[in-house]
Amino acid sequence: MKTVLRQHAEQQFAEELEELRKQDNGHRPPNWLLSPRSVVQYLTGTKLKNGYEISPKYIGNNRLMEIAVATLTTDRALLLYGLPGTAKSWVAEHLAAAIAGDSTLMIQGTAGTGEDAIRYGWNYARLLAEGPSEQALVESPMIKAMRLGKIARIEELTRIGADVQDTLITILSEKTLPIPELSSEVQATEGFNLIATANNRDKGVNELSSALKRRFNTVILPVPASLKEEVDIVHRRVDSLKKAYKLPAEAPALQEIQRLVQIFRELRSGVTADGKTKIKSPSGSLSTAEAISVLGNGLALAAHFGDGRLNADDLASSLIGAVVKDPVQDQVVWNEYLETVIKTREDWRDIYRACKEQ
Amino acid sequence: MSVQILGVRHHGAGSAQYVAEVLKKLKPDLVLVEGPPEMEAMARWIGDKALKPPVAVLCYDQERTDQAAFYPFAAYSPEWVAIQYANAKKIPFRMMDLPLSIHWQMERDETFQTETEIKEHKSPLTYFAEAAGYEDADLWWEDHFENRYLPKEADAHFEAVMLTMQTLRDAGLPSHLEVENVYREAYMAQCIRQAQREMYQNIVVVCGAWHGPALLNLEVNESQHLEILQKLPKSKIKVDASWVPWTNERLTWWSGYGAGIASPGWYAHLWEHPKDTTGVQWLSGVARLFRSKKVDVSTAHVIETTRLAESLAALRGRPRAGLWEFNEATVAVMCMGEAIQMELLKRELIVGKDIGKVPKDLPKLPLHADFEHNIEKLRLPQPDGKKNLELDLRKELDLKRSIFFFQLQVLEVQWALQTGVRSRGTFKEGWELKWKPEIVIQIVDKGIWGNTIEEAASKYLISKADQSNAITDLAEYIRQAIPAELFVAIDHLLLKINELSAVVADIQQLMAAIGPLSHVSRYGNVRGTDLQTIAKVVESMLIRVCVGLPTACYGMDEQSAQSMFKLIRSVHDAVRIIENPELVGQWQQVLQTLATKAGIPAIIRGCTSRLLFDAQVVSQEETTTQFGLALSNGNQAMESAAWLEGFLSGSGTILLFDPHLWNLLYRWMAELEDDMFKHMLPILRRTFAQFPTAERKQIGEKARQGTQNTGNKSAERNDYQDFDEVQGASVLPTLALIFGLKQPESHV
Repeated sequence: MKTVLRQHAEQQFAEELEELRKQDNGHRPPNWLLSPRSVVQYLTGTKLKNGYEISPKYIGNNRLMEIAVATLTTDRALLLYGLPGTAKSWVAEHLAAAIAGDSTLMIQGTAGTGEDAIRYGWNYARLLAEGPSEQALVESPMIKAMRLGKIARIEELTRIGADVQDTLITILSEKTLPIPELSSEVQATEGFNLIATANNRDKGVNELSSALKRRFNTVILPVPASLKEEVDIVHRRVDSLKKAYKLPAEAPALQEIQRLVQIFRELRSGVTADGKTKIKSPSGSLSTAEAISVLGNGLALAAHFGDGRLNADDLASSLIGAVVKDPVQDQVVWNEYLETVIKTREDWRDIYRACKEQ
Repeated sequence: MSVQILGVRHHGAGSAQYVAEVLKKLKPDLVLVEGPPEMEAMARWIGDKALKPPVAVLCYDQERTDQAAFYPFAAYSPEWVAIQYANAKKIPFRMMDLPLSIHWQMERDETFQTETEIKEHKSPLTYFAEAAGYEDADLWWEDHFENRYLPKEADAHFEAVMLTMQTLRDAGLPSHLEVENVYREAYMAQCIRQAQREMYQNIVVVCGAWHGPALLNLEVNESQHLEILQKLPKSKIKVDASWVPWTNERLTWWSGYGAGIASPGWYAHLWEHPKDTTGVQWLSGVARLFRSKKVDVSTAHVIETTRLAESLAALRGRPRAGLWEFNEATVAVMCMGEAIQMELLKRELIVGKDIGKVPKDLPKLPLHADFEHNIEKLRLPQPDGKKNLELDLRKELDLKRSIFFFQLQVLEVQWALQTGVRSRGTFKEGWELKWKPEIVIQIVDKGIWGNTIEEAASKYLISKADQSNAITDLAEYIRQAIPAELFVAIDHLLLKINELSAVVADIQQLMAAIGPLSHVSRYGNVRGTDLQTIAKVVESMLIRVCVGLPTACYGMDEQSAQSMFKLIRSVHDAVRIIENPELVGQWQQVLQTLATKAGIPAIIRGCTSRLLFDAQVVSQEETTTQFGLALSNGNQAMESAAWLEGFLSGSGTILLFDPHLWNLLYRWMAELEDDMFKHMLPILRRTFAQFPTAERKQIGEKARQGTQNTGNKSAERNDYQDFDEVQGASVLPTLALIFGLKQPESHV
């Protein structure tokens, strides 16, 4: 049997969810698999009474997760907002997995997402042969979630056109989806709710109408507050990445991760870690997710073309690729950073040399 | 004979509610409250309608005003509630803490061990908080003891508080004032024993929760306490006390009662609306505030916020939603996740903007009394509302008023604001008096600096000067001190500035200070102040600048050159103001050095050339030569542009009237290569954009005509072909009269 490349959250963490369910004696909202408190524990990680360790999925302010989960217990939908790479989709997926045991009811928002994708489409062969009927209807993940009382997800809500976005209003306020062609409707059952994610950076693309805004509680996921926190996140994700891709490389040394995260943080904030030197910021967002992929890349290089051990040379090429998004301006920013910051650090010589050689 | 000890948190709304309940039930015949006995006389006013919290008792040493302590009260301070009860029922109350006179004496005696700073002190309550899964000790305390008031549960509440503190103390955890507390607690216990001996039957003690356990077992500990108390020093310090108005914002600070509270507005809400358990009332207030700032918040928002806060509290296992939950729910529902609007909420509601009031006939702090005395003496309008004054400084009374206003400005008391610019020649000054209740607080704040406005202003300025090592700061202080006539301070400041200017390595600082100082020495005279000394200081500073400037400018980078170039101009102006021929000569010599020496940045060379040209020290031919040199092909184009910026900065008129310079510039510009021109455009634009519009227009028109004939003036004349000479001449006699000239014999 072939193994899938990436398992859904509810499959990958099935054991953790099961353990949580066993010891969970809190009140469960209708159709929830876990009590709200256990959902928060699933996200933030904890040690259960029987000694079982739940790994943290979201590292950061636990209060944000509490607000997110509390929102889903009310009849308001949840909007996760933030810069690219701040774990919005990740959190949404795990929330759906923990609450409904199913993270697959997902609609990817794009500029081309039409109403059909959110409501329903038609099987045209059937429609022509039999006329409008239940059988000819192609249900969207939204309808499925409504029928089953599960959590539906919409990724990148603000990329969807405003007119299409507004079809959500009826679903969120009346909890019904009318099907005029069949003179019927789908009514959401208990447990249904919606998690949407949207990107801070291109807020201007299709801003939510205020009618729609009013139906969401918004939680902004910030970039990691401290170096330590960010290193922790990268560390964990790189570990799981390595396992998933079965890379025959050594796990990167913590110190290597720290260095990379520090470069990212310094360039992002425009000031060195000691707060003494100002530097320019490149145009990209330099999110934590990108730091993770730079390391992943480096690991792959080390495994297949190097000695199986992540060193500065393996990092350099993908690091530059992550920083220099605009070939002219970012290149200047990067060179300046290289010469004024990296070069001056005694124990960063290897990375300086590696970057210069690129 | 019963003694009931009520452990409270200072400014704890829940504590206050329970205290009120116990008092009502027990009907004591004596109330003992934590607080220094010196404030007892003031505390009798609590309950008077004219005394409106937030207010504070200010205790201070009669002889040393810098020794002072504030004891703030809000309407929900348990101490306030207890004393208010006693005053209303006309039963006696006593303040039972260690007298401030002894406390201060202890601080002054070196034999007493003072508090050693415990690094990273952990509040003992943190242990409970952590065990219960709270991040913060305050939050834990609030949840358990303040945020939910359960009527008729007062006894259980105080029992629980006592037990909590007893446990922590038994575990040997230190409080943050360990040394001091030994004496204070012995003293408090002794006060209770004294009351018992006086045969009071029913005593209620209100004190900080931490002290509660130490005040039990009075008989057992007596000998030990007496032993401690014997060590206390005798004190001759005389302490005065007075009520001062306070603000909610100030309640958030630390003060005599220890910790400040982060959210006075929220506490006031808890106190005023103990029944608002769902927070609907609070959130409606939030919604109203947002609406008043034009943020659309509907009733549905309030409902959703309430529900989210409730779910959050349930999720966290808290008995009811607290401020944290309400704030987080508000951000998620009303603010689209953006915390920025919470700043508004924090300022207006969570902290609140209340300002207290104190009765008019109370004894006042000396400085405040002097302020009012001055108002009377100078026949100024009573502080109230808004008023404009115009002062004529030739009149003695007005001059004194102006001095008084300037002294207030030194003290950062914002009552009188100068309006309009005082023009040099007139003796008029405009002032706007605008009264705000905070002003009393601003005055009280400065009470530690002296007993009269003049003394306080002087001392305050001197202390600020002593903390500063920047000449520019000192120059600014002098500028403030002169119209306020703070002679002591001026002497001190001059001495300091003289010392500093001798050692200061940074010549730019010196130069920056010369500008304002020279102004003072020149124009301050209007007020009849002796300014000889300042002039001397300025001169000595100038000499230092003259000596150091060429070296300082040598090899300067572009950015520093930019700021240096501005400084040179300001010093140049100062030199012109001072009008000391010897200095002027010296300065011009320095300028000449700068204009010609190699290695000096081009912008500075350009600037000095222009200054010398304007001062007519350098002839026109020479300037033209320099101009030509600077713009010649051998130079780097960027350098030429920088020179030009220095030379032309401020005014381009010179280009209009000097055809030689114009032609040089024109040819230079024409010969620039395309790429180079684009490169230099920003710097040229920066130069020319500073000229007045009319001038720019003229230059543009002139540029269209190309180079100019420098030989004869016929070309220029052609521009004025239709000039009517007869009509023009008719105004000349009148002009001559105005300028005091002789009638011109012939016209142009």
